[in-house]
Amino acid sequence: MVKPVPKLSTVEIARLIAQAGKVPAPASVRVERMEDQYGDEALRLVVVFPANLPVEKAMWNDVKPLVEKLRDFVYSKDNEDRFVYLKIIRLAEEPVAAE
Amino acid sequence: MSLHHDLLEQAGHLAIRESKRPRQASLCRAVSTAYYALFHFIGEESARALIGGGAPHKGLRQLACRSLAHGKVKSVCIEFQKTTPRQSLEPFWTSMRVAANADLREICKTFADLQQARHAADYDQSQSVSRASALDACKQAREAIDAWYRLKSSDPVLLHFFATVLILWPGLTQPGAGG
Repeated sequence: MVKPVPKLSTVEIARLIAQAGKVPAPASVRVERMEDQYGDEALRLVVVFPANLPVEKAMWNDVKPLVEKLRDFVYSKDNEDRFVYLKIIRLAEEPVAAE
Repeated sequence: MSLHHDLLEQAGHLAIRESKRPRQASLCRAVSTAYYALFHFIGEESARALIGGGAPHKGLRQLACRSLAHGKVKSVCIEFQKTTPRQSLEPFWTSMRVAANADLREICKTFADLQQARHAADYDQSQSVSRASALDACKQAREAIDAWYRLKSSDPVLLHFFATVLILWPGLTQPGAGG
């Protein structure tokens, strides 16, 4: 049987944001099922930052305290043993030229 | 300078190479190079921990590094994230407080994250890599290397254990290897 994807409630997310201290608040957070590059079952934590947040305010150092709290929380739900990958989306970023 | 140092410098350079309109080729290579910096660093440091440093052992260290496969290193990193590991490793988990070590967790998480990011950057042409993501990859690789050095001074026994498992992993995961 496929293990369900852990769900994060808005209350839980708000609590983790408050705990993380001075961090930019994400527009949305979700967890998805995925297969990694070796075909192993895994999860992906997708953290989306709003378009009005400058990219330079949402770099790794800025978002790490929150992102790691969210990831640890996913692990703690139902003793999750799948690896939780990260995807950070910054909507404020200028489109990158395709070459 | 060491290979990982040069690779990290190169990754950082690629991430900011074009100031206005960054090329996907540069950003993808930046992510990939940041991952390879960490891969080579972990391999070299693990070999050094097990075999010893210095010129006389260089050939043996290189041999140990060549034995490391990317997927196997990822498997070890994911194993070290677990609160309960496979049976053969269990006796060490409690005595060495593996799961509680923040530096080791950071090294392992970052390795798996960067390996996945590198795979996407190199092979998934449906997604573009942003400059912020490329810079983040460089930053994460640097932080993982810093975490390694912290671990080396704070808990060398745990680091030695991790390095040992990394090199022995193919044997430990074979059927009949005791879980």
